[in-house]
Amino acid sequence: MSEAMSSAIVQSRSGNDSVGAQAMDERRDGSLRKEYRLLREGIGLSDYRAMGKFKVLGPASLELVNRVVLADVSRVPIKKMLATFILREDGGVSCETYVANLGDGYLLLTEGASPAEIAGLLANEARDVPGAEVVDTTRETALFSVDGPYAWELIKDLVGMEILGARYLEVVTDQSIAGTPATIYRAGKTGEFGYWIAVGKESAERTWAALLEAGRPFDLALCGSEATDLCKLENRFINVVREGARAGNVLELNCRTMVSRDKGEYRGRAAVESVIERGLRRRLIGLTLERGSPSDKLPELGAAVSYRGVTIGKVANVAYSYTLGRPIAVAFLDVDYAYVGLDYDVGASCARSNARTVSAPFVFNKSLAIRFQESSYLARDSR
Amino acid sequence: MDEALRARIAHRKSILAAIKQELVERLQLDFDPAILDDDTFLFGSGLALDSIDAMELIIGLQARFGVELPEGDLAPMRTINTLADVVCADVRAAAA
Repeated sequence: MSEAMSSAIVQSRSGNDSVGAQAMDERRDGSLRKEYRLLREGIGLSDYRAMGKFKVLGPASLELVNRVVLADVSRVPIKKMLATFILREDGGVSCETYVANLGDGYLLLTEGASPAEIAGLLANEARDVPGAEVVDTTRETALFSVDGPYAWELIKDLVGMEILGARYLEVVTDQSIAGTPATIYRAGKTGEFGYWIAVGKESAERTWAALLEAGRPFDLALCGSEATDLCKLENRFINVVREGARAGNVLELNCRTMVSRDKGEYRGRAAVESVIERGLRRRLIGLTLERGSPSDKLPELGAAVSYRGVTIGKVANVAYSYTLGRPIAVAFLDVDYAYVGLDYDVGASCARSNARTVSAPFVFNKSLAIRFQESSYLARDSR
Repeated sequence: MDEALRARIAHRKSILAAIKQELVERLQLDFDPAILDDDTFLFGSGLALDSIDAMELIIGLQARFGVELPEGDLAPMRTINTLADVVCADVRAAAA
């Protein structure tokens, strides 16, 4: 299975100008476009086993989690999740973290740092918090993601109608897929319906096969990280290894409402408070670039954004949007210039593109127009 | 920064500030309007508004800006910035 899964991972475009490389780029673009269409118009399946998975248990579990993550977890109801970050001490982003309130403790799903690194960090913090125990379940748990405007229909067929009542960031326990106990997290980072399915590692193969089998009438296929990253960018979810890694401080990512100033100490707090006191110097904003074809060379990460020859920021993430038919980017701009509807230049003078600042998100999602009673992937041809 | 750009930014900022104030006051959100980022999402993992809040917001924007958001049209209801896009477009249309 791992071989099949890895074959779905599409490599990034090389940007090489040779004819052979160009042909390879076109083949890659074809696979990327196919996977992207699945996520935007059908259903795609991804393997999230690389995510870190940690249970924090015991009477002091809330205290420990709150010491580690940016947001105030005490506001998360049982069987709900919130999306937040674990920061470095300098206020930059260490990793993205979904925190689920399990009732008897918390589950942390982490991405952007190695599970070993997060395990070390949690163990270190736990030394100062008696009554909290950290259990690393990364290797014992498999996590699969089913995303797309019709993902709900497949999941409904697998576990029953009740799943349709689950709201975004809700945790649905005590489910069963192909006889395997499963927990379903209504989540996702594509802007479409998304369900994360967690099962024990001993049941991973069976669950994966069941998903593929049940997904056959839906034309379900595997989607790699490049396709999900593109959807993530279009919907302005933070990509922790792109714009997240380039943020000097988490507040540059437009996360001010995540900050609780009265929850006590947490990693990176001093740096966050310092920026709140002195004010932000730059922040992330979306840009659409001149219309082009998917094979056109994209601006480099870190390319300058300028206004009349004066540099006002840097590109932090860029990709070609098939929906918009043009490249899209996010850039950290000087806060004085970071407003929507303005025309700037991206890149060096020899390869400069016109760019316009735009509102988040870049696209309107098909899932927003879905009505469970009226929509069906299976019946779409008969309508 | 030249005067034309400065004026456009000032106009956008004033609309964003008014929308944030309307959001917080009308929906009684537990936020200072000044801390709301322009690209804050209204639903989901952003402000986590619900459908009742959305109706209130539509009424509030109509009262404050005279802008009519069609019921069921979700495109303008994504972020504070998408709301500002609608208000700015309406102001431009009125001025034309």
